[in-house]
Amino acid sequence: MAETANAIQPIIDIQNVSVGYDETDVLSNIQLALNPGSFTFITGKSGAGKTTLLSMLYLIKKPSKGILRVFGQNVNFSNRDTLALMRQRIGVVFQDFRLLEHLTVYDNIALPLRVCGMNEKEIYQRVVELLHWVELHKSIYKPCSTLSGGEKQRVAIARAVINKPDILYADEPTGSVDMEIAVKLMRLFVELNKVGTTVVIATHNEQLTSSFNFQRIELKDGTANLYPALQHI
Amino acid sequence: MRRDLLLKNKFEIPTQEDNTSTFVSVLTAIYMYLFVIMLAIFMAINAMANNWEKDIAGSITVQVTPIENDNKHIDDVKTKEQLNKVLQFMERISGVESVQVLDDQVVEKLMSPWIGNKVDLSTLPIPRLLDVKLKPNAELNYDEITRGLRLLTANASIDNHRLWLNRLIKFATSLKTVALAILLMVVAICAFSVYYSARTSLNINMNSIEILHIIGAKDDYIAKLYAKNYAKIGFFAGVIGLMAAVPCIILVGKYGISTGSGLLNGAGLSTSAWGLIMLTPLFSLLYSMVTSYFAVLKSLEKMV
Repeated sequence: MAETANAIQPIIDIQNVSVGYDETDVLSNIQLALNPGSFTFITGKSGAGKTTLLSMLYLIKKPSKGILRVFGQNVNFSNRDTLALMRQRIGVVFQDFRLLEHLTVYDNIALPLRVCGMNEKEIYQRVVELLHWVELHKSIYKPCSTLSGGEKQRVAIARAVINKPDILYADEPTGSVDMEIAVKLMRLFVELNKVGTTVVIATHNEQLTSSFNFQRIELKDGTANLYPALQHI
Repeated sequence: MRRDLLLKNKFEIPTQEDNTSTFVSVLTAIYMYLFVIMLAIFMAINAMANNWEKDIAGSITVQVTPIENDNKHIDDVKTKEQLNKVLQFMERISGVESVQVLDDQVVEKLMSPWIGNKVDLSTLPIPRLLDVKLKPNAELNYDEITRGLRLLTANASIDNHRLWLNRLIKFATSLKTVALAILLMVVAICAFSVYYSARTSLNINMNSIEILHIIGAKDDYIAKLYAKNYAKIGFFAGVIGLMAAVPCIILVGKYGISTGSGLLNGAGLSTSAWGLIMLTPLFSLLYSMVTSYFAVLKSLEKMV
């Protein structure tokens, strides 16, 4: 009994899930469970379904079959408002950043807080603090359309973490940067993971995944296999 | 803290880039112009019909044809006698407040459009008129009064104005109905344009909408963003429509009065009617806001 009570409930629980586009499943019957505070890589070749799996995990795509539980809640039976509340606990960093280009750096980063209904005074304090952390405080008034790729990436990361999310997803975050910046970015994600954020990173950069010893979900031929972190490293 | 930063509340969805805002602003301004014109016409007809009703409903007129002597001249004494009999008869009727014989000057004024100002009325067989004021809500039996008058004299007849007034009011009511129908049509078309413009904008800006959803925005949040944006558009379009329509109304009003038609005299707009017209931008704001809110909410419900 005591053992059952102490068992960790997965933050993400995927049971026999199939997901894809229209009538075609990209991934079939996948079975995975990720614990809170874990750090996971999703790997696989281009077209293996990394982005599809991630979009299902950040709740923008529903599984065509099976059960997906996030934060212990069955996504299939959650209404739109509940899904929105669940998304407020999730941060996402996209490879193409997906910023609102017509808004300033400040407005982009403030967006998740405004969506939660936080007051502007508190938003200002948190955004300014985070802008110092990502070293973009001098670009606070700049529209995002005028930023360089590296700056946009930092804005995207700041927007993803401003809400102190329970889960952070990153889709190919190192795809457009050199190895040195990629490692720096990874260290940033590790830091966030150390404070309790569950981090899931989709990447095809094998050099990167081998440099950091974390569990790994490999997508191949429409299936997903979870490989634990190597204990000896 | 930078005030300008805090006050900056830029619309998260870049509708300026998809031109739907410009389109709906121009369209709403045109519709609001038509709306104000039709509203003014509707209220003017209403006021005119009410004035006719008010002026005439509380009174009746009794005509007494002058009596001629053997020489075919008007017999003043007999005519006056007869007039007095009719006056006393009318005064005795319950529901009648007062009876007054219209003096020659008033009759002269009434007749002047037809016979001019320089004619001696006493020589003409013009009927003598009794203006009978009725008590409020008085219900008279006109058939009985007509019979009573006939027994008294064959020269008296009653005109309760109802027949021709009813025709006029019927005509005014048809005009009012047409004005109201056009008014409602303008509102409906305008609501449709706002509805479809909001939905089009939503489809064009699907990428931004998806980003908002990913960061946890509820449908209500996005719908409110649109509602706020469309409220601004509605208000400014309403102001422009109003500013264009008011000079037209004033011009038409002045032209109507200058034609000197007695029928149109009551068609002026009251202060409360002008007040209602001035509220048009607020009306425009409200319906643009509500329509866009529900249009966006309904469209978002269909998304994943």
